[in-house]
Amino acid sequence: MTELHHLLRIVGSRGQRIAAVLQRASSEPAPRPLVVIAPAFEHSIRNSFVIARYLLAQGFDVLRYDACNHVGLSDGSILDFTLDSALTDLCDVVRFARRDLGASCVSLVATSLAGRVALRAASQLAGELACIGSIACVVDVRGTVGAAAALDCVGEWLDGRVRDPERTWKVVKNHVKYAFCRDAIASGWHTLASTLKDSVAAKAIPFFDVHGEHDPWVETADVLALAASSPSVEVVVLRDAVHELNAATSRLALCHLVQNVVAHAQGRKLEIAEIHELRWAELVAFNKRERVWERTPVEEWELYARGVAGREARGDGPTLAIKEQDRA
Amino acid sequence: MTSLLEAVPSARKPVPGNVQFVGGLHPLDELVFQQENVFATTGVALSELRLSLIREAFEYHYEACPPYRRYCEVAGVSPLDVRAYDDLFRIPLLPTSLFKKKELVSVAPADIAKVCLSSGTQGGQSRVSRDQRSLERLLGSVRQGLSVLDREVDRERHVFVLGPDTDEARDLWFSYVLSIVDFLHPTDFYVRGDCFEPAALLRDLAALPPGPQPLLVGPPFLFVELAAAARELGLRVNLAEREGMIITAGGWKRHQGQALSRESLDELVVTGLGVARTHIRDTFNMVELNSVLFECEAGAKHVPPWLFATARDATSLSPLAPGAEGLLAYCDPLATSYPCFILTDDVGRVSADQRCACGRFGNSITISRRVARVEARGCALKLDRSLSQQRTETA
Repeated sequence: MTELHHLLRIVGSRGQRIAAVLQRASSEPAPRPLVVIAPAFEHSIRNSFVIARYLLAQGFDVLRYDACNHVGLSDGSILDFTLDSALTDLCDVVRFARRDLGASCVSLVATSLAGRVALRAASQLAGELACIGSIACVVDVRGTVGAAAALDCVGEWLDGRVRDPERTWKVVKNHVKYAFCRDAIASGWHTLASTLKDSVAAKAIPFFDVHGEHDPWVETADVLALAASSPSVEVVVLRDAVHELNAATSRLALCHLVQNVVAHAQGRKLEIAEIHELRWAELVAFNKRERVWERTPVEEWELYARGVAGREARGDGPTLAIKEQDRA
Repeated sequence: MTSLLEAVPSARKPVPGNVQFVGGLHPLDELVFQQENVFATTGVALSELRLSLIREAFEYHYEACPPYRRYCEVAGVSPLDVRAYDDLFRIPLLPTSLFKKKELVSVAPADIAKVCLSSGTQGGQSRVSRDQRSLERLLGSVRQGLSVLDREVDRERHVFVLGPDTDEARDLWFSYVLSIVDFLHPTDFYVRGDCFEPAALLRDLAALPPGPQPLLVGPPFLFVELAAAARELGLRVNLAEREGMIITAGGWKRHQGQALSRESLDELVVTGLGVARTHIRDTFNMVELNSVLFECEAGAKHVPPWLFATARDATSLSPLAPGAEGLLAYCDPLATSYPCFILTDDVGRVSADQRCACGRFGNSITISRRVARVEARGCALKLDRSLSQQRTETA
C-alpha cells in the first residue's frame, strides 16, 4: 500500500502558522473522509501517530497538527496557551480540511484537554463535522488542571489569590501563564456545568469518549454526567485504565474509537476483530519516520495560506503536491 | 439560577444505553505501565505480588512451551508445586547457554515479532524470540527504570545513544534495546556503519536547545572514547549544568583488555564530560532477560517487584542467603513468548528486600564477574544435558 504525506503550515485566522501533517490513505484522487486529530495538552503531532495509523488503515485521510502557543512546531510559546487559542486553531484546521483539501466529510479526534475544546468547537462547526471521537476527554477543566498540576490554579484566579496574568504555573512539564486561568473563566471553560452545556449545544454531532476507569485527572462520575447530558454522547469506560494510554490499554481504546468514527463517518459497521492492529515492526518504523518529520526544519514545511476561516472558502482548492513514500 | 446538573437529576448516574464498560488490565501490565512508584510495595505485599505474578507465568509457560514442560518434568516440578513464596526457588531454571543451542518459544511462530541475538561474547549467540507483548513490556520496564534514574519520569529529555539506530542494530539485542529508547524520548544515534562518531555527538550536544535534559547512553568503552575525543578537540563539556546523565550499559564485552574500574571510569567521565558523579549510572540487561535494571542515586541496581532474582550455589543451584555470592538467576514474568526462568553466567549478589538509602524498597543486584566456562555450572549443565537427551529421544 502506498502512503502519501505532506508537511505543511496553515496560516490560521489569527495569523499564526499551524504546523500540520496530512497523510492520505490512498493515492487515488477521489474525495475521501478525513479525520482531524487535535493534540492533547503538551502533546505534538508525533504523539498521535498510532491513532493516525489506525484511521489510515480504515481509508481515512488524516490531518494532524500542532496547536499554536504550545509545544510543537506551530507559532507561539506554550507560556501563552489558552483554551480559546486552542479552539481557534481547531476550527481553522477543520475548515482548512473542509474547504481546501476537498475531504468528503470531516471527523474530529481529540484527546484529553483537546476533547473539551472539541465539545465547544462542535457547536461552532455545526454541519461541518461528521462526529467527534475523544480519548480521556477532560470534562471539568478546573479539576483536571488542578490534579495534573497539583495546584488549584483556576481557583487561585477565581478567588483573587493571583491577579497577575503574566505569572506562570507548571502544568506537567511546561509553565503556562495565569492568563490561561483568566481566559478559561471568562470564556466559561472551567466547570463541569459548562462542559455539559456545550455538550447539549453540540447535540447534532455524535460525540464518543473512551474514558479510563482509574483516570486520576478525570472523574468517572463527571464523564457519566457528560453521557447523561445528551443522547448524542456515547462513552466507553476502559476498566483499570488511566489518563495516558499505554501499550496495555491503547489497543482496545483505539479499536473502540475507530469503530465509532467509522460508523458515523463512513456508515460502516466494523467489528473490533476486523481492525488492523499495528505490529511491532510497524510501530518502530512509523516512530522513526515521525521523528524525521519532527526534526524537519519548520521553514521547509510548505506554507499554505489560502482559504482558512472562510476568507477564501471554497471546495475546489488545488491538490497539494504530496510526497509519496512506501509504507513500512 | 438552576445549574445544569441540578436540572438533570440523572446526570451523575450511569446511563446504560450510551455507556459501556470494557476491558480490564492484567495486574502485571498495571504494574509495568501504570503504577507510579513500583518500589513502594513492601513486606508481605511484595512477596505476595511476586509469588502471584511468577507462579502465573510459570503455569503459562509450563503449558505453552512443551520443551520447558519436559525440562520441568525432568526436574520433578510442576505448577502444583509452587504454592508458597519459598516454592519460587523450585522453579526450574534454564541455563542461558541453552538459548545458544535451542530456541524456546511459548507462542505461535506467527506471533514472533523479533528474534533477538546476544553479542556472542562468550562464544555462540543466544537467540531469543519475542512477541509484541514481551517487547512492549520490556519498553515499559525501561520507562519504569527511568524513575530510578530520575524521579521526574516525564521530564523532557534528549537521548544521545552511543550505538546504532534500529535499522543498523538489526537483531543484536544490546543495540536494539538502546535504539528503542527513541519511543520514549527524541534520540540520536552515533554509531554508523560500525563506526563511533564522537565528534558528531559532541557537536550535537553543544547545539542542544535549552530545555531537555541530555542523557548519554552507551557501553562504557565508548564513553572512554568520547571523553578522549572531547579532550583531543579541546572541548570543555559541562553536562552537569544541564543535569545531564551518563548511563552505561552492556559492560565491556570484547573490550575487557581496556576495562577500567567503576571508580576510574567515573573519574574519567567526570573530568572529560563534566557530569556530576551522582549522574553516572549503570544498567543491567541481557538478551535472555525481559526487564532492564537501573542503578539509583545510591548506587544500587534495583530489582523491580515483578522480577524474582536470586543467587545460586554454582554446584547445587541451591538458593543462597541474601548477600551471598553465587550465580545469578532470574524469573521474569514480563516475557510471554519464552520461559524467562534463567540461570546466568554472572557471579554476583542479591540483597535482601530492604529500604535502600534512596528510599526505594526491594532488593538489588551486584555483579562481580562472569564465570569463565559454562561447564562450571554443575547441575545446570546436567539439566541442560537431560534436555538435550530428551530432544534426541523425541526426534
